Amino acid sequence: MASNYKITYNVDMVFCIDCTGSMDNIIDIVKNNALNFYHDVTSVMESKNKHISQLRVRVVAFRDYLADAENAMLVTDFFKLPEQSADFERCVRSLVADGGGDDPEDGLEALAYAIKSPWETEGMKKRQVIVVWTDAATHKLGFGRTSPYYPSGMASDLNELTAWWGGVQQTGYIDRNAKRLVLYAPDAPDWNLISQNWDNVLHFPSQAGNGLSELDYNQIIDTITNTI
Amino acid sequence: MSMLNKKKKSSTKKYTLTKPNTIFAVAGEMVPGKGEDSYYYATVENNSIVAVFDGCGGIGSKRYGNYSEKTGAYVASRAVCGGVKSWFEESPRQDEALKGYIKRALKVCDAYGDKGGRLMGSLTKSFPTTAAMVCVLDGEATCYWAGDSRCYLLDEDGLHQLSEDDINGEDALSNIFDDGVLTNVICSSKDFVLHKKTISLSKPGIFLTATDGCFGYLKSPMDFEFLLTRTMLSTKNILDWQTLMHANIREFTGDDYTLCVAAFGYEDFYSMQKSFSKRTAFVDQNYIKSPLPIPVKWQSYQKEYTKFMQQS
Repeated sequence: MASNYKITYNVDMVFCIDCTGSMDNIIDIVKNNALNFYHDVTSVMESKNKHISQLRVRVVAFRDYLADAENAMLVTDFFKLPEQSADFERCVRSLVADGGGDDPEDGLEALAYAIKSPWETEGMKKRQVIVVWTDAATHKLGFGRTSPYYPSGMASDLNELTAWWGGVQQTGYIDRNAKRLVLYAPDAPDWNLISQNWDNVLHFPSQAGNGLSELDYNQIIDTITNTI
Repeated sequence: MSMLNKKKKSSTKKYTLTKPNTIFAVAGEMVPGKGEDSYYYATVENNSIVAVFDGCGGIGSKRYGNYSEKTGAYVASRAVCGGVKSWFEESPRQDEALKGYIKRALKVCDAYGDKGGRLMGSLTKSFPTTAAMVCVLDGEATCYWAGDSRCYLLDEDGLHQLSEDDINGEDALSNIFDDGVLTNVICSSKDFVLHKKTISLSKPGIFLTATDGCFGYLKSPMDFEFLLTRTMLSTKNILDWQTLMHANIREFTGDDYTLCVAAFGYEDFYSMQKSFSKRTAFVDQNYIKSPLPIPVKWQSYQKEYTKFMQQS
């Protein structure tokens, strides 16, 4: 009676990748991880009978507004996969670790761009996943505000960014049921505050995921693909 | 804080519950040997229990070397099931003690579970599982639950959900589609609420407890009722009914599934079928074959479906 009825998912992913100079020794690993990540999520979902009707991936490459000016933030549109998989791969492969100035980076601005993505709002079920790879703490939001390249309309502080993410009672810019945030980031400000206080967050405290075991990786993929 | 979140008694004319006519489970795993559901049913004299547990594979996906690389979800559903079994066997009349039995079972999980793994964040919980139980004791039925597994009553008026989903969602229909986040779940790393509701029957009925693999992959709650009664009416005895339900659920589900059934007040299988024949035809006509959109059909269906929920 119900055999022709299949639940399908629209999956959107945004990959925020730290492209500052300190990432130089691991940027190639991160690129490979980013390219494998969407594939691993989708194949695990399919293996669990969660059929994907649409898959889109977007890249936010970030550095430091004060140090890197116009090269501080690269934000792409969503690539529709598998149709644009070659374009997506070309984009990821082209990323270069360079610049960055001091140790903390403008990771929160990258996260803000990701949260405000033009998410798919249609479809039976949705997954909206943001993944951050970085080896550095964050500047406070607005640290680079004096840069002429700093975006207007940016969240003024972490409290506002938290509201953009949303909570149990309030809806932000991302679907409260579909959202997942994966942090491959050090246990350092403000990543640790986000890890402790935001809902639907998975944090692997590390230098951009360095030292990630297969066991932990599988746990991350299972957590994203399963209902929570 | 109270041990149990008590909901008010809902009642009309009282129908005394004794031994169930039949009590059984229908269960299946998506991947053999890796299922994260568990169940327990038993009858001791006039006391019975039907209980299901669904280990939460998302937040409980950490694997434990000390538990043969099984996930926390897998271990939790079985450990909590064991705790409930002990409670039913040792002190079922002390319902305030139930949460203590569950917590002790989880404490053992924690004590022997290896502490490895570096993942942090709100999406990680230790040994998380749902629970949905109906316990019939001294002629009275009591539901206990946490999470999105459900307690139901099926009678000649239709299917009634007794538990209220611990989901960040609107209602039983939207909870199927919205993939809502669980707001309360049994686990060892955080306190949880074990809800309680006492139900009095006014006519013969069937208590069911179900994990979301049974109902969460159907189009609507109406389809679940139709599955239960259509399979009942299509078979000749309890065993066939059980087998057909198993085959039907397996056909559409994308998850492990567990359904526990306890029927009260029927003379035999034929009288049970007879009491559901009129209602099944009505559901077929008005909610299954009807071309109206599901939300419209749900609007008219949900009054009866939520009758006991509204009384809480």
